[in-house]
Amino acid sequence: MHRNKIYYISLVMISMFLPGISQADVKTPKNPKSAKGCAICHYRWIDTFFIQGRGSDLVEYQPEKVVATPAMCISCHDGSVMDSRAKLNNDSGHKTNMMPPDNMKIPEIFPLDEAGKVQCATCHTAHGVPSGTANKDSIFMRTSNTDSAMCRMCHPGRDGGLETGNHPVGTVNREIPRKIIALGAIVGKKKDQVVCETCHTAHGSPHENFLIDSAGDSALCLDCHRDKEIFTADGQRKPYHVLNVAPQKAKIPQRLVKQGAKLGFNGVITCQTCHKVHNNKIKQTLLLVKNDAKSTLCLTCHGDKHQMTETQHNLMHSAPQEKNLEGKTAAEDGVCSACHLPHRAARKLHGEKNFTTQLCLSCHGKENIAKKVDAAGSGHPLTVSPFEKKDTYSGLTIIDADQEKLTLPLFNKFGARSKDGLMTCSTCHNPHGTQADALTGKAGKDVKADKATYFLRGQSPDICAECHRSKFSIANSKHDLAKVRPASKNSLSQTPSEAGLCGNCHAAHGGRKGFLWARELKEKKDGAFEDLCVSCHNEKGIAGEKVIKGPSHPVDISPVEKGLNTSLPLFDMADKISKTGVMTCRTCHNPHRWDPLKTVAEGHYDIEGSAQNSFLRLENSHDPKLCGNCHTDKAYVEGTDHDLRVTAPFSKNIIDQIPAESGVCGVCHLVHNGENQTMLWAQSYAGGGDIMERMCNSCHAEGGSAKHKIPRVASHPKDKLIINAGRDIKGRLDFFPIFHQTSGKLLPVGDISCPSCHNAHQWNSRIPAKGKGVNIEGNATTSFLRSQAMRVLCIDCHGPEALLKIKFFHDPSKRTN
Amino acid sequence: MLRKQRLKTSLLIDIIPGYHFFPLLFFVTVTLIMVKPAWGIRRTNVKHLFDLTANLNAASDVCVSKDGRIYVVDGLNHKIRVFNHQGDYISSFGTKGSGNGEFRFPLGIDVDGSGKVYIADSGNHRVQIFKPNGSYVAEIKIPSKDGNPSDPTDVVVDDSRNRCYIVDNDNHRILSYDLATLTLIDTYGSPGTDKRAFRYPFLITLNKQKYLYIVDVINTRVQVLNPDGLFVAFIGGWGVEKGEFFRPKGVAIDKAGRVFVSDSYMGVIQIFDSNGEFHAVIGDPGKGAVKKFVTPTGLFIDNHNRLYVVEMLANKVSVYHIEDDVD
Repeated sequence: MHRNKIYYISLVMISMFLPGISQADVKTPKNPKSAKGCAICHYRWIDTFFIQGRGSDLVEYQPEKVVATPAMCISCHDGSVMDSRAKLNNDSGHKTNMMPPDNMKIPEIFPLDEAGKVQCATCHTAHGVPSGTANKDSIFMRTSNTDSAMCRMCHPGRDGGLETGNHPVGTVNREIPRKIIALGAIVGKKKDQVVCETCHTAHGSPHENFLIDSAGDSALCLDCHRDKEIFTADGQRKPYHVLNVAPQKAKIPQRLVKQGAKLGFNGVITCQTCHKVHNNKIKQTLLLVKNDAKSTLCLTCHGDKHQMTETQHNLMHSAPQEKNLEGKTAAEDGVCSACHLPHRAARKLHGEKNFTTQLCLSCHGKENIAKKVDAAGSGHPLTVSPFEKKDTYSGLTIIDADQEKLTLPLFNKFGARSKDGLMTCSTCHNPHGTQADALTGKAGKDVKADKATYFLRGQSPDICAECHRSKFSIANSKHDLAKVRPASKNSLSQTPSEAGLCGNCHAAHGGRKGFLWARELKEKKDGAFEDLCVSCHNEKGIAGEKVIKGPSHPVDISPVEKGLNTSLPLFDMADKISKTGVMTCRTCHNPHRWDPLKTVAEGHYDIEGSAQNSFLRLENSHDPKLCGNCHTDKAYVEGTDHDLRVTAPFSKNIIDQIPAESGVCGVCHLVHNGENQTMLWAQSYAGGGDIMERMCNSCHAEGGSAKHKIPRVASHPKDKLIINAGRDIKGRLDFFPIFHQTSGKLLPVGDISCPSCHNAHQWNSRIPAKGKGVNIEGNATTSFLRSQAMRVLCIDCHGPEALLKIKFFHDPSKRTN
Repeated sequence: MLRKQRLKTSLLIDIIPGYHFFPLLFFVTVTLIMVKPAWGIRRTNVKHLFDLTANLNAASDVCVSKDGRIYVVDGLNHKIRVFNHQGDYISSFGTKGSGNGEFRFPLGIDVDGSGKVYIADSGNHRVQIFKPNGSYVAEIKIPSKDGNPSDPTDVVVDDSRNRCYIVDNDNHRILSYDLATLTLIDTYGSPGTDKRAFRYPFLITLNKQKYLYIVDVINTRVQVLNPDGLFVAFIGGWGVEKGEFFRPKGVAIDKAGRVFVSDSYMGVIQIFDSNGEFHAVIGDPGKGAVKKFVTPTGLFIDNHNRLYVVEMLANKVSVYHIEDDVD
């Protein structure tokens, strides 16, 4: 029995202690209070947990304090009481649920949780602070955060301003911009007082290091330091150190990174690449990551620019007294500072060109220190894309740069290299020099520049070939002056060996008129200049044996005005290609290519040309493609009886060319230096009435190449004062031209001659096409006759029977008066 | 004396049958009280259909139009995301800003019988109205109260009366607007704990009779008003037991008139019958236990007996079919 009692009593005691065993780690608060007002956050203090010590049907038992955990905070700050979602859920804000770093001393006022981790409650409390809840700086904060006082308590190393190697805090001499205020920046109690929360916000920033704005693209820095922005408000690039561009040739050494240099998003240069804004031990004045005495910081990354120190562009050598806009010489301020200052212009810049070009011209311009190398005249185009071929309509291709193959750099609006960029001076020139530009011990001595120097990125003509490769078929031709006139000099007094293949005729700097012409030009009476070709092709020129003397094809005329269409290049008064321009020598000739059909590499400077080559843009033999490009309706002569390649292949024109040499057109017309002005006739005029008949009779006469086609009666009776008014319009079916007896010009009144009825260039008036290349017999509908319309001019005098008479015009037996 | 006491005890044990089992009975009773078994609560199981995600960021509310288009308030992206009935993402509208069609931290949503969408654009202190395709229609500017800016957190439309009710969270009141003129008709409520008083009302819905069911967050209850703003009832109360709330957020009513209330901190959805009595809790049929959600916030029940649950911090809306009760 006694044993039973001990058993029962023990059982009861065990039962009574059961809850205590199951929650043995639960500690009763000294002043337990489970009222809803407290338990609304102190979840643990809900009666179910705290008094009854158990869970419920809905939730597990809560043995530990959970107040001010992120989950508890968001349960009200999700918009249902306050909307702090952006701060708690969307940012890189102050870290919670983590241990503070070992070297950080957390003041006792800021409690960590039981695991020693930072929680919301470390900084926040719902129970007010001595400064009172009326103060918005201290609501729910453990102490007043006026002027970011709380931040400084845990982060004293970030405080102190420049003296301690940190970004200045306190009153600054610039206005804190509204932009960052709108973003959530807090200014101290004083006007323009920078505090920690001016740049950082503990909650709500989507940016790195809980910054108000991003530093990864320098936005935050530039918000205040607008004067460091590299673009003006209207988008002009200022000559400041580039920002937000990935380094290309520059290399950020690891030692600099270890010292605090940072790259931004996608590896771009930012303010923090050169400036370390907290705990800077290197150069506290400007918070630079490295001491920049005499450009040493610049050359740390821009090691590829070291070569410049040995060139004329090192002003210590070439202009030791020259001062930059900071009033310092290169010796005082560093070799880079003569041309570059990171956040302001080093030299006075003028003009509207890109800033790189402006910078070059700040020395290489009038009244500037390098004016002696600034040649007068035109310069190569700048701020253009070498890939935009604006002249594709014509047969003249000036630029043929290949985006994939171009090795010369183009530059974008940041001044950084870009395949899609534009040309600047730095496209062809490396202002920091190459070995060829090195003075190598000749410091201070003026070195004469030639095609190998000029700070060029490559030697001429190779550098020209990057964009103008199609022009290089000029080599070994009659236009390769090194071959044909090695002693000649261009307008810059350079011989072909000095100027290079291109430089004989073109000067990238100092060229004249269009095409950067580097040879003397004569001004004509009307103020225009002679064609470029005349520079050499004049009687006193180096091509004096190839000049235009006698009757030749006209130039300075507009094909458009004459109703002709052409794909050959025409030129305006400024020598620019223009669809409505006039003809020049270069309309028909391509001075860079001897043969339009093939590239000739070997020497061909000593051979005589023909209608197949002679620098013609298009072949004119065998097929009349060049002439036919403008004179489309005349090209129908090809393959007809008037194509003497078909009917008289061994006949010759007056310069002793057979049709195969002269081409189809050249049999009858000489483009240059003929004997006859009218129609540039290439045969000897024969006897007959007017000039037109005499031309026809050149062949259609005894001894002529058409001696078998001589009409028994060739001419219409003369002096009939025939009027062709209304029938003098080319292209109409009843076109019936009347010609001046000696000049061959069209007249409204005159005598009928051969071409009044015959169109020598078209076999069948109804079929505007070239012939079949065989000699065929004609009839009354072919035979080069013009259209036989009902309103043919003949009926004016002969009545309707004229239509019948026409057929027998050349038959004496059918003739009547 | 001591002997007498021992004798009494001995007699008691001998006289009362089974007296010696009392301690054992006491042990079992206490154990049952201390270790509450889960099978003590009725559960309404749900079958998971799909989740809506579409890069949601702190979504807060959801609603479904008659034609099955699902609209989700994507608050931190300042957008409304639109899905089809199968849960496929269709489109979105809105961007951050304060112009027409722009939002600042929107929270609540409703769609009327014609398909027009009403958004509580909290940060801009207004409700915006859109066509179903997201094109802007109009806005209702919610006035401040005593200099305290309005904080519209939800809106619900009563087609039968052509009016809408807007919850002004910070000012602890409900505003009734005429939809024909977009003018204020009436204001219900004040700060406090009494009837028709609120402490941070948040989301709202209507039952068939167009009574207002307003989640009163800090008062930890759902307050029911009639369309004229007269007090009808409280549902739920403070605590963590069944029928009690710690952080009530969303409310939805099914065809049977049952009221579903989410609790974002406890992570549960409780169901009350049409009289406001606790009926069940959403259960997890797989685990045979109470179903836990991640910060359940806005709720919606459509005509297909689907339950849409916005899980704010999980950045999704989980969609379920409501199944049978399990005791």
